[in-house]
Amino acid sequence: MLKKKSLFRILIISLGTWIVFSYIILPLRLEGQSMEPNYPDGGFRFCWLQKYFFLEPEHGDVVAIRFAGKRVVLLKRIVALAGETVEFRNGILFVNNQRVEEPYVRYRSNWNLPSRQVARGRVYVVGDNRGISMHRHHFGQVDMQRILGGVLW
Amino acid sequence: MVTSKHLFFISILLCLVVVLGLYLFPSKEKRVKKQLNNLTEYASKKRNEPTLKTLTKTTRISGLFAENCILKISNPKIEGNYSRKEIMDRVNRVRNSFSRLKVSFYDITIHFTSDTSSVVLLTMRLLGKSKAEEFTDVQEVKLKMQEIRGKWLISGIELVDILER
Repeated sequence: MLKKKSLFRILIISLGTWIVFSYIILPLRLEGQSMEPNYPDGGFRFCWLQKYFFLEPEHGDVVAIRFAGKRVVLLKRIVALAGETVEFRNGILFVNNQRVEEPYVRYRSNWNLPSRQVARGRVYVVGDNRGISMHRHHFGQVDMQRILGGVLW
Repeated sequence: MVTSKHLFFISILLCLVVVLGLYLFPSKEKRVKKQLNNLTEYASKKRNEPTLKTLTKTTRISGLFAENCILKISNPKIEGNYSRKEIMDRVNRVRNSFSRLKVSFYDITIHFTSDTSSVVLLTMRLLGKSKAEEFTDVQEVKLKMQEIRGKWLISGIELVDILER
């Protein structure tokens, strides 16, 4: 009788764990410097997979972007939403031609990028570490469908 | 007269036959995955790789590609039909620019478009050291593979752009 109960508990815990880590939160081990110093190389975070099911994306949200699946993801910050224009002038971000204060950016270099508009259904994402050369930094507009969720903290 | 002892041995024998069958005649998906595993193994490079090993790996990599391969890369812009030798020259140039390199594939999805062709979608992760600095990159890759003379060979490579500047 006790054995049956224990087996049932194990089954429920396993099922619960599987549901939580498949559909609710995704553990992330950080690698790379593109989000430093706020998300350092070797750090550990959780991604809330259902965040954009309930909420609309906002400026400053840190999101996980998927490639072919969920095992390797990119961590980036949303700097502009659909319909807005994005531009870099000497490392300073301009959205809709307005200078954006970015307290989370500690390292900056001389990035220059002509103005462009974010397409419908997309958001513009950039890493926090702008000390990296622009050519080596993954950034740009991405389909909302590629966004797995928001980073919890 | 069949005893339970006989039944036990027959079931063991049947299991062995099934395992042997799966080993000797792997499914199409397993054969495609094996080629992808070979690609990651041959493309990866340890520090101070001996020249002979480099040559062996190069030859083995070339054996994974079809005679003609369509390349589609947006940055730097490369698009067109390339011969196996041209592909090899490119692969060599990339490998030579690293003192060490680890290539890994994740989230592999294989879709068979016919009995002899397939489209593979995967995440490729490169981790290495080029000249003096550490290098990390991740790309989504779409591969076209065809079964030619019993081997699944790569006939198309496309780097999928997920971020558009």
